[in-house]
Amino acid sequence: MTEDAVLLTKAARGDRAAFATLYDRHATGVFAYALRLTGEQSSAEDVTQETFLALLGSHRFDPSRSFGAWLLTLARNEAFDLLRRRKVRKETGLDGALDPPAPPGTDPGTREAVDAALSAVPEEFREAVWLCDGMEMSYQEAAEVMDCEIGTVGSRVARGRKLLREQLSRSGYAV
Amino acid sequence: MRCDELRKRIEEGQPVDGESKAHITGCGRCREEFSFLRALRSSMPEPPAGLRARVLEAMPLRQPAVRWQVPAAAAAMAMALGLGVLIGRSVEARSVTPVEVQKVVVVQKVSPDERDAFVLGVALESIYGGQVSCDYQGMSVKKIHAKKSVMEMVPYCPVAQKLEIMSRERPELVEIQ
Repeated sequence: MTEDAVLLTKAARGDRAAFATLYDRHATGVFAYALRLTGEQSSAEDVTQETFLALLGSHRFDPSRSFGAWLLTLARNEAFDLLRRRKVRKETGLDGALDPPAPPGTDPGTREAVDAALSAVPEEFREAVWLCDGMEMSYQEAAEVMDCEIGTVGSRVARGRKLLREQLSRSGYAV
Repeated sequence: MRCDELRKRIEEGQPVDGESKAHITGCGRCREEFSFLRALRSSMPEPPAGLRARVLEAMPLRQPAVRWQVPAAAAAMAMALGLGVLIGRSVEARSVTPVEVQKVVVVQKVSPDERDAFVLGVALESIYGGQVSCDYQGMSVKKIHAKKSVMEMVPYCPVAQKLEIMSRERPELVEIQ
């Protein structure tokens, strides 16, 4: 059993310190992913909270699977639930820009420039690039999170990288 | 690895493995061309500082701040009967003896009113042991309780946790439909 699985078992039994440790180990990834999906700080915070509470349903976790992938699957479900409830999918990033494009001339290697360009990439490709190149998940883990075949992950990453570079180029960056 | 090999890997959507990273680090042209990869990895916003405390506070408590004592089987029976009226035969107690519980049947859905989850917990605990422990604050995620099944309440309700454990360890006593 992995260390995360042990912590999860303890947390599900009410061990607050174990729960806090799990949060400290994974909150950054969950929050970043939630923010990427919802495009809104407050929504990302809500999704993060709901994800960690849902995490305590330990009977659903298969220890043979990747804990990180399972956690992001929970976050993805929570994010989509939230977006469905609020019916603001178009306005909050899944189909639109997260942030205004960075001004031309900004270093294309900066976080701001890439964030702005990535926000213009369609969701399925953006998510694949974010999980694999941003969070450096394995393609197997990304396939679990996105509920698709590994081959699909690769094709989405390829397409996403291409669109991202085109978007950066359109914004005036030499890539 | 040559530059064209790296470019092919990236364009084909293959993982950026250690060999690829090593090449990017050591090759000025590729480092510039694929700077977006480095930016992606550094583009990881940290959660706000206050979120940690908020999440930990929302964790359901095993040790309740408020303890409800229902001392006798008679009270348990009364509670269960009252519950049956309240949530429409959600609980069917075939034996309410505190020591030897035969079987409790719990239907999948409870009423949308989150209070029902609380009352359900009170009744079932009283049936099992004559002692009720349930923390209403621990069930603070009220919107999740509404319209959720008992099993889905497991992370949020100590009573549901107990039910879930019993259903696994002593299936002859508890039947979750």
